Amino acid sequence: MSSLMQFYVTELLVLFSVNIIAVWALDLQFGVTGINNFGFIIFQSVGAYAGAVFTLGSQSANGGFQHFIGGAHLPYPWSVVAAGIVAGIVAIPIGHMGISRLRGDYQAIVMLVLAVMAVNIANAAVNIVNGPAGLSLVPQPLVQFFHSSLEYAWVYVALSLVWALLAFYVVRGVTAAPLGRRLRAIRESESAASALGINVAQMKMRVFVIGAMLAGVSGAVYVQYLGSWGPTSWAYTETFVFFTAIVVGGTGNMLGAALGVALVPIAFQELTRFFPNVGYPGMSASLQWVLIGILMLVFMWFRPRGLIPERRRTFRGGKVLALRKAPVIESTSAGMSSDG
Amino acid sequence: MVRSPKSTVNALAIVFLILGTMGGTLGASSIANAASSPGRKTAEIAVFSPFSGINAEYGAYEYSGCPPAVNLINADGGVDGFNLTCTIVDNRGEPADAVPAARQMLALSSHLVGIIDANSGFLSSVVPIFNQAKVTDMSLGGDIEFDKSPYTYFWRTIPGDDVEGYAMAAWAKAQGWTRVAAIFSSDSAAQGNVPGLVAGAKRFGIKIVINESLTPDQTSYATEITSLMAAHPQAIMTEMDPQSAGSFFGQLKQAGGLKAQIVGSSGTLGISWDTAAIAGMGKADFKKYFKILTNYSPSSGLAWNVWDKALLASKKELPNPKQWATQIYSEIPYDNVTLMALAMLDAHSVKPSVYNRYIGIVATGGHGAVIVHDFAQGKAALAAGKKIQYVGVSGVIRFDKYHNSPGEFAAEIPGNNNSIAGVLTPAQVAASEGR
Amino acid sequence: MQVAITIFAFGILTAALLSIGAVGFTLQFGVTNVLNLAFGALMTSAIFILYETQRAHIPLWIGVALAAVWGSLSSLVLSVGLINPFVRRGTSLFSMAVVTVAAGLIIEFSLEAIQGPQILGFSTQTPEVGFLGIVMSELQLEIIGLAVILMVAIHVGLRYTRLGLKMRATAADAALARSCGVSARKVRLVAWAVSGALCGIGGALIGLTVGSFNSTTGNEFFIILVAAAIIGGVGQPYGAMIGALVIGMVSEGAAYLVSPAYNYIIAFGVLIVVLLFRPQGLFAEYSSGRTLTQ
Repeated sequence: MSSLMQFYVTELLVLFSVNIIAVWALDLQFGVTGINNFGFIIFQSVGAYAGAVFTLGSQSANGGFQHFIGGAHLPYPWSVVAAGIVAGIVAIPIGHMGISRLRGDYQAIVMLVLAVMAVNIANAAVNIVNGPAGLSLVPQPLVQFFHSSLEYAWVYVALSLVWALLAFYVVRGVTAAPLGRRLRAIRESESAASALGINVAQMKMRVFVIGAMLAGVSGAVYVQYLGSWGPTSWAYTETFVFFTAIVVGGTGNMLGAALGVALVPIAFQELTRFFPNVGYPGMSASLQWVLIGILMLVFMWFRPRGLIPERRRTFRGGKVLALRKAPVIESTSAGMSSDG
Repeated sequence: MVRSPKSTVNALAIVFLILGTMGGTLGASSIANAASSPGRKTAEIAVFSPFSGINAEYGAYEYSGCPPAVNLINADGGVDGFNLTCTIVDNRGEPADAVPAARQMLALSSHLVGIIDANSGFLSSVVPIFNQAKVTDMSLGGDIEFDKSPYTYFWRTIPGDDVEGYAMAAWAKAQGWTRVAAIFSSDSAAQGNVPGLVAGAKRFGIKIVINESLTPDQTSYATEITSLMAAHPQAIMTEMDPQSAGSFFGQLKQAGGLKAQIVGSSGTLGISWDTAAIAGMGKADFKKYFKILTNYSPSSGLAWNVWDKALLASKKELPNPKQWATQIYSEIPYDNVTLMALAMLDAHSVKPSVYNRYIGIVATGGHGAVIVHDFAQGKAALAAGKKIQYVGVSGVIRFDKYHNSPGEFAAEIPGNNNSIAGVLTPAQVAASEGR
Repeated sequence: MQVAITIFAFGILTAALLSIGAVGFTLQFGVTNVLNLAFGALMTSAIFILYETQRAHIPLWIGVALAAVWGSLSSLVLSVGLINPFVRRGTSLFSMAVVTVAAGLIIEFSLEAIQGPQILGFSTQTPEVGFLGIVMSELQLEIIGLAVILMVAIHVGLRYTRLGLKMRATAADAALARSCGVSARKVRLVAWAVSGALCGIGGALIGLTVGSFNSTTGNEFFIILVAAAIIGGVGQPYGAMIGALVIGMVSEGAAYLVSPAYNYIIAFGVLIVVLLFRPQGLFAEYSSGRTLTQ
């Protein structure tokens, strides 16, 4: 493989890892627990800004073109960890507002508006994260230890895969039984779950914050690769790219989410660049997006439960103390909550 | 959901394999738009810009300069046995899409020899990639950090965003104004003018009576306009997007505030801006009050005539080519491509690692160089063994050690005959900068 | 004092523009429970229709009426051709939102493909009217007038016609309404048609007021409409009207008193405050989720 091709492949692999962390995080919130976080992109973005600010140092370095709060030279990987924590902290007030008081479609729309509000603030308050210009010149971590850029590119792939693996273990830990069962119970019927003694509000908050932290980590890993980040990169529509990945790949399971990532942000967006040039210059660029929309619809029509549907979990028999024969409880497919 | 880690890893491995294979097989295909004569091989010039989304116009401008240049070059025998061709690469206007687009372009192009780009705000994400791949990039991006660019393969023939602000202050001084308003929209490109304007004005003792950062695309600017009128400026310095301009100046006129000269930065260039502003204030007032302070290119002379003719003959690639004839952001890409081709001729190679440094040589000329105004002249002079200096439609190019060339400024009266109200010499701009 | 009048007058203008679209959005959402995120793109298409009628020198208000018809028809086509089939198969709320996002993408970028990236402008000039120390154009006053007429018409329609009664019943509880003999299908069609018309008018007028536009303009204003709808309580048309007033006044006031860059941020801040005290919005009864009506 030529080195240019290797650069392209490594870039796709980093993109894949970053998006997979984000999508697993979103699936944790939405697919497993049933929280409708249409403002998800805020957390990836907070993580990206934090990951940038924690490595850019003070404002006066780099010529003073950029204005931002914070600013540090945290060594790797603490900059990424700190970014995750910042995203988690931001999630707390948003969670209190959006999760405990709102449900269903209200929740969805309000989270969406929050995401837009956040972009507006980032744009207007120029001194927080350099306003519309965004942050750039973000240094690549550990680059000084490697001689060739190609070597470094593969190293970064390895680093991002490590973060993805960490995210995998975190998500698996949360969704393993018995905690995972409780979360799914909340998703299916909050009132029933709460009647069983589950502290619904507290569990939702916890999952929400964990998901936000993972999203923050994905943002930091991303920005340290791209080198720039600005308001244009996190329009509220970005959240839907992730949702589409989940819906296409299959909700409520990590493999489905991974497949969704390979297909939607990566394959759909990259392959549509090969659309032949038709009409006036640039027309094919618009048509690529039309094609992406059509692909989304096609997948959702022919495979509504996703390519890898969630495994239905049935409970038969087992050690139940009160009854001799245990009732058979089947969970229905993801996302079909009838209330709450 | 909980499968064993092993099966998940297996599945992920399969996904990676798919991606890798895709990359490999697609390496064979090309995204070129070829127009070549038989017998010659093709080399690509990529137009790396936004072609969709909110900045889709930049791509249209950047691209419009390419086919005319390339058609002239190919008609005159091409370069080193190659025909050049223009390829569109859409970076969708933001870094998260631009970086993959750049990598894909570099990996999958069949024979990429040069890049022209029109981006702003994220040059620092993509230029290092081009530089590392050793492909020449001639840019229309105004990112300030590139005023001192360390990248060998990066060239810029427009001033950085901050320099224009200084030029505005210099113009205010030249006009004898002492009370000036600064009305710029809140985005980074427009705001990039403000520091230079403020610093230059201070240096000249000019008072900035009001400095407003405008939120774009509002339905009503009533409050901002009230404040502006209360400040009684002699002139308004501005940059904002066409949509906002239409609203703002229309409402300003409605409120009776259209009394001062309005000077727009080069960010107010373009047909869309003119259309919107005319919609707001009417054609008569637009011509009376509005000037654009921008890099200057006269719409006459040998260079322009050649450009105009080539442009109008490019109907196949460009719908309605006439609209670009006096647009400087079409003329500069045309000059850039011509410059690259002349550099290739002088270097006897289309490989950027060989011809890149000749760009500076061909633009600067030096003692005893022949001044040439188009590709044909340049080719003839080089064939005769002479040194050349290319002075194209956009005028004299003087690259500093950072590969930046600011060009001359003039206050243009908008419209298709491009008459000017005055010229600013580089010395005047330098005075504003305190150099 | 002058400032107060300016803020009030232009606040009303902004509110008028927002209210048309906001009521359309909330009406449709209330009756059908589909979160239609293609609404912004539909508004943009209506702006293009108005622009074309202006280019053909058709009188302005006929052009607006045509935009209304277009909005209505395109919403019906969208609902019958795309949304209802998905709903019938039991698609969840979120997948529906993704479906409408996909539809919005297709509409927006088809418009861009047809039109090109250039920004287009309306060249409508109307005489100015001065009163109480401020100057507004005739067009702006007519827009306010039209918004008022439309709001009154909606009010009359909902309260005093049988169809309006059926719509309110379906919005409150579709299953119960059906058991009372209300044909949910018919009511939903009417809801899509009416909200589509409002979407068309609202979008066209916003484009006309802002003056120049491109394929992204509708989406830019869509979120603000949604905020107005949320403040009033999603699904509550009267709420949307009040919400539009709130956003209009607050954003103009914030622009003057704080800074123009913060106008919508502060309006959104008001939204947050309302939600903290009354999460369902001002007029709605409860804040739990709903199902998609079958």
